[in-house]
Amino acid sequence: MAGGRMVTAVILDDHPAIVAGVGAWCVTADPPIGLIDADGQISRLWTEPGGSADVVVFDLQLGGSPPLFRELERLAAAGRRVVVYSQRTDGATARQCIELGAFTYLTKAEGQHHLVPAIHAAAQDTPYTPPTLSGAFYADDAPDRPTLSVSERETLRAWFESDSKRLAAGKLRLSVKTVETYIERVRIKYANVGRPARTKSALLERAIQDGLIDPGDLVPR
Amino acid sequence: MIDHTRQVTVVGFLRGLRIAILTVAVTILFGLTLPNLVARIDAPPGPAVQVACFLLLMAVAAADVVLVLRDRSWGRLRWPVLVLLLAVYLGFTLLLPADSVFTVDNWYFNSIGWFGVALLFDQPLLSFVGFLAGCVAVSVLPILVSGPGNGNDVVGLAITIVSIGGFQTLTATAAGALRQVAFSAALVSASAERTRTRRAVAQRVHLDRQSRYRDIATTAGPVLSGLADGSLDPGDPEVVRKCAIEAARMRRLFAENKDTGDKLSHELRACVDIAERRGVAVDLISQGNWRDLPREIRRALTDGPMQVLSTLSRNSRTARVTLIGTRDTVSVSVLADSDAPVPRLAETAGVRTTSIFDGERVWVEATWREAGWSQR
Repeated sequence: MAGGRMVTAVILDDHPAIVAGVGAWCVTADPPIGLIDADGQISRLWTEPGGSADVVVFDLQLGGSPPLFRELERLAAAGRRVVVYSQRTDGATARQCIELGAFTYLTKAEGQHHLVPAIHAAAQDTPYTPPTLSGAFYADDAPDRPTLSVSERETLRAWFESDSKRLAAGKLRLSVKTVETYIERVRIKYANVGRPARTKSALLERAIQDGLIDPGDLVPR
Repeated sequence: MIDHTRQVTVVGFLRGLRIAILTVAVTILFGLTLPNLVARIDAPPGPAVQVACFLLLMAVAAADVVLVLRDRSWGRLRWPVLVLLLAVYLGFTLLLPADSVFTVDNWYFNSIGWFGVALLFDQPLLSFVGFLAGCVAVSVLPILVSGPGNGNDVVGLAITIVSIGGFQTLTATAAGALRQVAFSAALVSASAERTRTRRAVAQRVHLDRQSRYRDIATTAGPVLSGLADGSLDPGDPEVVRKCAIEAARMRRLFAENKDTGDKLSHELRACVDIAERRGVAVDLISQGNWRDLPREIRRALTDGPMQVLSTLSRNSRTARVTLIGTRDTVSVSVLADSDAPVPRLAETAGVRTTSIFDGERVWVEATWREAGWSQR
């Protein structure tokens, strides 16, 4: 979708400093990202120019309001690729956002290293799991959580702890590529149990194309 | 707690007393009054009145049984009941011929006093004396109304008051004395309980202090005495390192004694604090849940990370500290800029500590797994 032209993202955040910081990262990104400021207003995610941005960078809480789960769900249902960018670090919130169809979940502390790669990944429909989300998947104790293998769980934890795929690979005596594969596979498993949304189908489609999973592995819930 | 102890002791004492009074009242009602009543059912004031009066006394006795069983006092309800008993007695005597008031025909008077004792068991003696005086006044009323018949009346009155009223008053007095004893016993018992608690707390505090002292005496003691007697050089990097670790250990020890909800996080935070004081930017991130782990396991989990955090060099800029847990596994990890690897740590309390050094960063991870743990 974004092939050939500049990737665009629209950001919803009530702190101008955050928007300015993300803007600076986007300008220096390679390739650069065109950032549109929704000025803290949800409606501007739907109207032009924000309405046709490739990716939505979404602050889950504006001011002191409760988390905007319903807005997130509506965006996901409309096929928008949403990168939730929140100050909340608890696993339950992260997992709920994924369940509702968010493309990925980033804490503000992870922004500097992970926001630009996450926007690029979202624009290409490839999974992106930052360390905190990885920890949230590892610590998931819900009865209906997806079944993960021992290697997948150990990889999730090592990635959460080190924030470095190279270190995680060294510790687990795996290649960096294998570490990436395990993390992506977990994300696909979560997409497979999440709500039907474009994010889900795009991730699954891409994963099958890349040979990450076998279509026979997809057991509908 | 004192009030509770007092209540338990007093109720225990008074329950026995109430059962005794009730037994006397019921025995007199059925053993003495009922045969008399049956034998002389046609005597004044007539069968209907006699049966009605007997049923009233039975009802009051039944109510008292229920209250005794539930350890409840009559409370404010006692006053209308006493007034009712007296009023009925007034009617009863007025229906009696004046010369029968101090005879066996006046069975009501024999019983009513005991009900007074039962209903007023937890009141000052004066209330019972007042009730008894009321009964005597009612008994005397027919004589006053119709004038003294003969000397027998006065003699009968005197005998009745002494034999029946005296005995009842004695019982009421004993009840009052017992009540006093019960209150004192409750006070003594509460005071003894307080002393026991204080002693247990003091003992616990003492043991805790001893155990804390033991914990640091073997490691911090030699460092401190070495510094004091000059055998250790404060400029020696190895001594500086040892001091840093001991300071961290003491800080963790103080954190252990704080009564917080999540002890492991709290203790880890104390270790992070040490690194932050050295100018290292620390990211502390936690995920998941963990149960309340015993102190040995918490120590084993924080030992390795604590060593890294307390000995970071001046060149260290950042450290990533994570705590992640599930029902059966808890991991504490530290990844920090470092120019030296960390010494190997032995497995203790079911906690395995691994460390990696890649030339720039050191990564120490301590993982506890519940015994019998298996991968999900």
